[in-house]
Amino acid sequence: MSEPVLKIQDLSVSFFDRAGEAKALSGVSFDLEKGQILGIVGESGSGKSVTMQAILQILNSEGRITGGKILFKGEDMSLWSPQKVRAFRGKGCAMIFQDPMTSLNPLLTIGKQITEAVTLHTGKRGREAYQRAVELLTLVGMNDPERRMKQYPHELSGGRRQRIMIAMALASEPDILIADEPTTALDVTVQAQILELILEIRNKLGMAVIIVSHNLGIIAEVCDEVLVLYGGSVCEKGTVQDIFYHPRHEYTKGLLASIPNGQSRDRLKPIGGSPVNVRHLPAGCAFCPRCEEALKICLTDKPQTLEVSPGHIATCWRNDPEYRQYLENMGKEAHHD
Amino acid sequence: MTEELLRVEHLKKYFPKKVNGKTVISRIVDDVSFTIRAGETLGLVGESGCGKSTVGRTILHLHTPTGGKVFFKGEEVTARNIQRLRPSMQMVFQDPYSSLDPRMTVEDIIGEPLDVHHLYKSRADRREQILELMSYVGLNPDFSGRYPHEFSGGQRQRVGIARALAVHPDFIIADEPVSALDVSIQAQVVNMFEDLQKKLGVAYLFISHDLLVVRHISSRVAIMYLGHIMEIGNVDEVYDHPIHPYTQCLLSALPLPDPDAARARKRIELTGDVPSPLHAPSGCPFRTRCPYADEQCATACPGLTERGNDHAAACWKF
Repeated sequence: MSEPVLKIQDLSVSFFDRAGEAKALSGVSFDLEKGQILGIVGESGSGKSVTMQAILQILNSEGRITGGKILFKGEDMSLWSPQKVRAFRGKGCAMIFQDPMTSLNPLLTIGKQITEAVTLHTGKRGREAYQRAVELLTLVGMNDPERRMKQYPHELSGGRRQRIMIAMALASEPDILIADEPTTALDVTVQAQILELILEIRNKLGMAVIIVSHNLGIIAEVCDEVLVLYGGSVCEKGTVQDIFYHPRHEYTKGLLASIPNGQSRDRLKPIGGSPVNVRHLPAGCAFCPRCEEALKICLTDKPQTLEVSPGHIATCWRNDPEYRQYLENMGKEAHHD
Repeated sequence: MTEELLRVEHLKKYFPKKVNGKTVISRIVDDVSFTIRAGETLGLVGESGCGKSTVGRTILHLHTPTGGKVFFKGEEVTARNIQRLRPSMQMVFQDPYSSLDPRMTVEDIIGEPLDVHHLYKSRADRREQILELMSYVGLNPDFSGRYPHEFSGGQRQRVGIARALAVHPDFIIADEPVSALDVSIQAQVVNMFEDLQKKLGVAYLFISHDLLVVRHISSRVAIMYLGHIMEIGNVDEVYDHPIHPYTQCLLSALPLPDPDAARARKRIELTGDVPSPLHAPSGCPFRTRCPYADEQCATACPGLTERGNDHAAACWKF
């Protein structure tokens, strides 16, 4: 396997304010390969946005990386100069946001905004930059690109605006595209179009994509690999099939049971309680207070991250070999596979 | 057959809008008809701007209808009797953050409808009713003195539901009640809606854009597009055998939480955008994006026609 584009090693991020320390991320690790679409799933406060901010080094002034490393193509980003970091944003890694209206400047035409991005990242000017902008608009499936160049954001629908955002992100030909809830503000039919576009661009340009979403349907639809976050730690990571068909963490299982699957009308099984507060993380597993299958050890000790099958890791005491052995000795099947 | 609770006939709501100094009529809700029986849930689905929330608000006279009639238990709802009928018809809003007054305690928020409609004998009776409502919706009654900001999103939505239940309604309009909540919390609130229906026999108009949640909670479903109902009927019938091309597109675009099934199925691509209600197309509202549309679709609007098995669709072609 070639070297991953992005390697996150044991990353911890905390926010410090008058109320004390909030551990937004505690020891998150994952790799992102070239051409891969990674989905990051989690509830509010799970650390999915903070992970993205840490990668782009746009944490607010209260936030600090307190441990771990981010390696971009093997280089440790913490050793970079501010200029290099600035070049990385855009060129190395571009981001599209949930709400395309607030990320576009309402006073400038679409053409002005895209050519600006083109000039900034490629140095092309004038006619050349204009040509490139039109090319980008065609790439993201905008009909009549020449006319679109003269329009203002308010003249376009939500789906078209999101296409513009994607075009701007592609201006720099980034190695990584981060999409933070890219379709949450859009309707189902438009959402499908945008997801289709992201897949298409990945196939054409071969970049790596990170999709952050709380919508499991979207994740199932487009991602190759899935990372499940809870309370700032990785619960589980694996291929989309591993996660959806053979979940090995109680939180993942809980999430899957709590959404309607479109088939059965059985009563939903919600996860009890509320999401964990990262200011008061429990001593053991972060999910333990809401976990119905918790063991005694979950209260006191952080679970180990174990590879449960090739490429599929989970952080849950129930996968511990000793515990599995004990279950077998008891003559019971580990009934949660 | 249980009795009919709510009948909506040819409901219309137009908003005047100034465009370049000229007043144009925006037909947000155009000729919507349906019925809801006691104790059942009708899901109302559609994309943003299709008028689904306006339908809910117009039924309750939060907007004055431009045309059409609404009957509640056989009685026509008018501006005159709406005040008397409101205790029987309540509403739960989408955003649990902005729909609760931040300066009132939960006790007063839930108690306000009781005050408005004079539904208690004494202070002690009022308090007792409020505490009972709180335990009904799964809130700890000890928290009655707290303010909305002290609760999580899911808990606030429970407060909003307790407030709606305070006046013992027969009918609740729930406008995107779980859309603002985290996935694991959504299931708690959806279950609560179902439990309350079983216990109290209340009927819901459940407005949502989430097709999976609607399928789960509803007994019947109506699909809206650009102010019109395109298809309505028994929820399994509509989801499993959609007739209208719009319903088919919508269902095929729905993100399924099942990777293999999601990749295997064929998606019907919809091109273009929803037209603005200011420039609604002639004839069938969906014809500008419909792959099957022809001249007939441009000339006249197909009304809902019965297709059997409690299933009706508005389409010339199917």
